[in-house]
Amino acid sequence: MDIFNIYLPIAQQNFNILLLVTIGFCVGVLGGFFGVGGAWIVTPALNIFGFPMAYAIGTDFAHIFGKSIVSTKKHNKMGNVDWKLGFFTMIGTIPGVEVGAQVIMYLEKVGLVESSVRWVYIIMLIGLSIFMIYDYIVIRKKREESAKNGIVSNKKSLVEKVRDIKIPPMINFPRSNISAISIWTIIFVFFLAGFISGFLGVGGGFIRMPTLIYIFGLPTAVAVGTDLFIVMLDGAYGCFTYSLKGRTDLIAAVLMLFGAAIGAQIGVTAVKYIRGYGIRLLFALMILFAGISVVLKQIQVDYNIPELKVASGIVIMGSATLMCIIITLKLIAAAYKEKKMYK
Amino acid sequence: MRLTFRILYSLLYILFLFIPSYIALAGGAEGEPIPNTVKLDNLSGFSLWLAQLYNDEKLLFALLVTASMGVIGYIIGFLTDLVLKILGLDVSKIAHHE
Repeated sequence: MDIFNIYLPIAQQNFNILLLVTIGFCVGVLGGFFGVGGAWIVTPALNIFGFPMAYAIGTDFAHIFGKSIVSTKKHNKMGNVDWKLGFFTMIGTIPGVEVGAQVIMYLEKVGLVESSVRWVYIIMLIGLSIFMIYDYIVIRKKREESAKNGIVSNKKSLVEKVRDIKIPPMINFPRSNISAISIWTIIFVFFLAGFISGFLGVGGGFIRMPTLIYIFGLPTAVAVGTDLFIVMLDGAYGCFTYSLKGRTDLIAAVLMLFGAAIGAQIGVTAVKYIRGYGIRLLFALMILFAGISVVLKQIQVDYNIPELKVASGIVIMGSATLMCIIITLKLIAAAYKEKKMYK
Repeated sequence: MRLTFRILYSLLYILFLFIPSYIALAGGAEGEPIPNTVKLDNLSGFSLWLAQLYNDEKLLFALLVTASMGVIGYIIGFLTDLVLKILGLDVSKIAHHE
């Protein structure tokens, strides 16, 4: 395998080309399919295989930027990107990220930062995942049964309640099927999403995607596409700023981008064939595994068990690979079925 | 529409206001300390040029990385799109099924 080794001049070490392309490919499929950047998968993956941690985040951001251009372009072709909503979400997100980061600075001063962040991360990932699985199994079934029996519920859904807030100015987002919503609602909700993302020090795709679906009522595919557009803006900024600090290895990022760009095509195309609820369920399972991985990491820190660090990495990489295989197989099966239908 | 533009202007203004502190954060308060320069021994060709740029001109290096990722991403996207079209896996506007 040595013939596939390449010397990375900035990270100053040899690294396997195939490994970089494969990690990129995996996160490309997941990013294009779920509408996330996937830093929560790439950073630990690079770390397990011995990529210097100091360069992992910057290199990750760089490839995320390139990859999200591919995904956003393709989602736009499918009519899944609401550019207008994407821009408006940024108004709330940016100050939110800033406030979240300031809280982190404070916690750092009092020496509580690491465990607080990790616990909030665990609660967010596992809580969100349980909610989405509950929604898939219980709420969706109830809704479908009511629709089947012609029962009209008087109880308003969260989406309806959010849209009922009529604080002017109101704005519409036709592509997202939103006829009128208060700008303040968007700013407030995305301020909170930005706060969590700034507090956790992550891009926040895994928070925004469910927010767009469950609070604003976007169709799943539009939520994925719009989130990818935000990831692209985020990625461009992250790429530039980390490179300015000298924390990006360009060659590693380009190699990962090659894999990611091909993976992203698969991920985005799969959105065409898999129903919205299917995407939500797979996403819920993915973040559940990510949560378990963080729990293992926390136990490793608390009880000083070095083996759990490797186990944590294996859980996240293993689940990402498994999810990639499922998405690719689903795409192949659906495309084959479609071709057969047209014959 | 006018309101939309006004809000977009405000957004750019907010971005402008917040960028300096965000940049300060991005370097990461935590993480291992890394040297600001890399060794040039045994490097040649593109690697040498890249490492020299990294050592001497961080701003140019950052611009190069960002522009490269944007351009390469766009080109790969375009090419893979073309290949998928030839394979009959082209996508167009989709109907949303939840």
